[in-house]
Amino acid sequence: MAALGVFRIGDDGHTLGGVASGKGIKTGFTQLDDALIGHGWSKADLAEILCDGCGMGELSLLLPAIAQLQGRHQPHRHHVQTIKTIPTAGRCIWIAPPYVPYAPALEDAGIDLNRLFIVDTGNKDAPTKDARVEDAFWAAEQSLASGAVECVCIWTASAIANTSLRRLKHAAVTGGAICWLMRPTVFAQHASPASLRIKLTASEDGGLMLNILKRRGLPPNKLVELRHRDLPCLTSARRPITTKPATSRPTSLPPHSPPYLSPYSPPHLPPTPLREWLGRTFGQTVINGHDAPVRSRSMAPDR
Amino acid sequence: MFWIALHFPQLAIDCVSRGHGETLLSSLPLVIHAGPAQRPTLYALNSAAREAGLKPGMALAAARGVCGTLTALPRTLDKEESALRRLAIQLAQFTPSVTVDQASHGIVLEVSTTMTLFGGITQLIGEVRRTVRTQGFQALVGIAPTPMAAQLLARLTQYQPSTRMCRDVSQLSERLADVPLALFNWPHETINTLATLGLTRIKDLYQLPRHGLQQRFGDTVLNDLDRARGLAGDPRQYIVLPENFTSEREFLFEIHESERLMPFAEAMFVEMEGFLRARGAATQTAVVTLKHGRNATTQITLGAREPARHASHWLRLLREKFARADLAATVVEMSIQADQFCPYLAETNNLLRNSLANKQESVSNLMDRLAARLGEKAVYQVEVNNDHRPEFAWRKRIDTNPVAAASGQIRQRQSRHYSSAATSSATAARRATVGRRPSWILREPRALVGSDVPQYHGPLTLLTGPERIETGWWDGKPVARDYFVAQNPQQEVCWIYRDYRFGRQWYLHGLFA
Repeated sequence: MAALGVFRIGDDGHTLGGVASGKGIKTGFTQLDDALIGHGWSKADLAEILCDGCGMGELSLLLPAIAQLQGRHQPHRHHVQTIKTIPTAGRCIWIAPPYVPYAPALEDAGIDLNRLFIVDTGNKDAPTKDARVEDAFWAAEQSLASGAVECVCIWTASAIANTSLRRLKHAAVTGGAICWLMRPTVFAQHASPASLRIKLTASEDGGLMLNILKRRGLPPNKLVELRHRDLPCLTSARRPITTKPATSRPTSLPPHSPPYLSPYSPPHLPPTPLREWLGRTFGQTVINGHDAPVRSRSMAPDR
Repeated sequence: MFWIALHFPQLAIDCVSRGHGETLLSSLPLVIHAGPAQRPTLYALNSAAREAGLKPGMALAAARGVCGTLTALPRTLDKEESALRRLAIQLAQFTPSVTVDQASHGIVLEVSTTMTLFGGITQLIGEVRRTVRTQGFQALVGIAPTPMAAQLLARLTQYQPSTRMCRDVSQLSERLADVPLALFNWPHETINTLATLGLTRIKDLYQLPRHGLQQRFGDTVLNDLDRARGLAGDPRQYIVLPENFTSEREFLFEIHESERLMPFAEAMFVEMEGFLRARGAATQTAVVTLKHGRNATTQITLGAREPARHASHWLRLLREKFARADLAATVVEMSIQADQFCPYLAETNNLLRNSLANKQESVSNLMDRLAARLGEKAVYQVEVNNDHRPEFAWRKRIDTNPVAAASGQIRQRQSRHYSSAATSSATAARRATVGRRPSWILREPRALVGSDVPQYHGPLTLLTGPERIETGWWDGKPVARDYFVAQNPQQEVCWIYRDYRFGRQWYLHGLFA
């Protein structure tokens, strides 16, 4: 560990653009923190996250760090923001995200939406795909270099010239901001100036497997596994919904919960009768009070 | 009282040629002609025309004979007047007491009250000169305790470059003694008569009996003499700042490239900045109009999220607009308008110089620049909306006007306050769904293949559900859906639903990322 210590001193000591880039931003996952120099995402740097598809937890990896940059550690806080107290720290800009970030979920994750800006490059002014990618990179570079934001996330599926990545990194260093570049895993073989490259794959239990392809100051190819219970966004989604009329569940029914009595449901509407509901949901007819067998077995969870 | 007088000997030619660049103009003989239409004579000429051997007063036909490549334009008094007036408005940033003397092409500023603010008279004169130069005018400057004396000194600079400033009233008579009488804005007959009498300089009039002078030449001569020396009052009418800002430039040539427009745009934005400074205001929108000839125009609206006044910011926004789409056609005229103003809030400077904070751009400036290139709707924020239907539970927010946004927040706060009972139940409802909402949402739910086993990158396995979300009769967009969390073989966690009333069709609505 002596070598590690030496690396840390070197890393803490050097200053870039007037900002000490020493201590990293905590990732929110201790296993990952331990695997990174500076114990977290390093500031003023380009980090590359290689991940195929959306919805395996790639955003959950970043949200704790963004929340921490914004100084809101405790999630699930519902307080009213007043005009004067919108803080300026931790402003974050997402460029060309694949879908619209869903505001309620982000708020649950502890993100202050007043400090989150989204740039959509899929507008009609830029007809070609190349022009859109160019726009996204231009926006990222401008945002990073301006020093007005603290982190930039940029999504791209196209191959990018190495010079563009270098410029992105240079802009991140000048502006003292973190830049996360999200790309598909095919680009893992391409060279990249990013100081940190993490390849994400889904693990067996529905968590995330992080393969650190490149990191500063430490040997590469380190595997870090994040279990799905560590990823807040995924865990609660998988948690079964607690249901109220669960007491009168007949044994012959599929293990679906009966209709969840949503708190939004108007109280004057009686809950749909159970059998009728099942018939409707699964396209079965209720004949003579007998339930037809469930057609699709794969619908049943935990089988 | 302390007056700075600006005299514009080349006003007619400057109005036309300003901004076109020295190198271009040096090879372009340009004259302004005036006089009767049958026999127009040269009124003003630029240096290239002068080098070609032309002189003011020549007949235009003769001038064309001398110089074949001559560009001749008729004199337009309106243009000169408006240019002078606009320059005066811009100079009102240095003092509220600005007067325009249309008859003698001059502007006079009273600066005794404001010169300390600008760091002394020398600095102030430097600022004024710089302002005038950026607008492409050549000005002669004179400074004196009376406006008339300042104007005379400014005009005198043409002949004696050294005599420019007189600080003391008691020295005025002495300093003005050698000023030629021709520099007064008197009728030609008066000056000619005085000249035939052997009276050519001011000191010649000092010895003459006042009564006789008044009888022969009227009140004007005597009054002007007294005013110049500070013996009589010289009330001037100060300009009143207009409500709106407009500036336009007519080009000598058609302009093909947007880059060639930039020097003109810069000068106009500097002019706008001067106007805004004079009014203590800032603006959020500026409209740039390009005329392509034959009534075709292009309008470019520049918007700033925070009230801005700096020319550099507006110029950068315009550059971004041109970077996206170059000129549609050649441009012959360009104008900039601004008509909505708000009070200017100065930025606070950081005490520590050269620190990172000083280099930082404000986030609103950054968003302006991004929006200028990518489109106004491309840069947005999201916010939570108090609704149980997933597609209405978020809202796009485009902050083009922070004042409106702030008032919106106040409104929101009030509405939350008033309906506190409703809020508490809504909050409880929100808590129940914490963590059950996907972080990505699709703008439009996507229909999935497969009614029994829905497919999204492979067959989906249901993890949890259903969560029933229904009703919405109050705005005519009711929903009746059972939501499930499902997973595909690639371990992508999806949020899918089907209409429980009559649907076997599955829809993808979000992704848990």
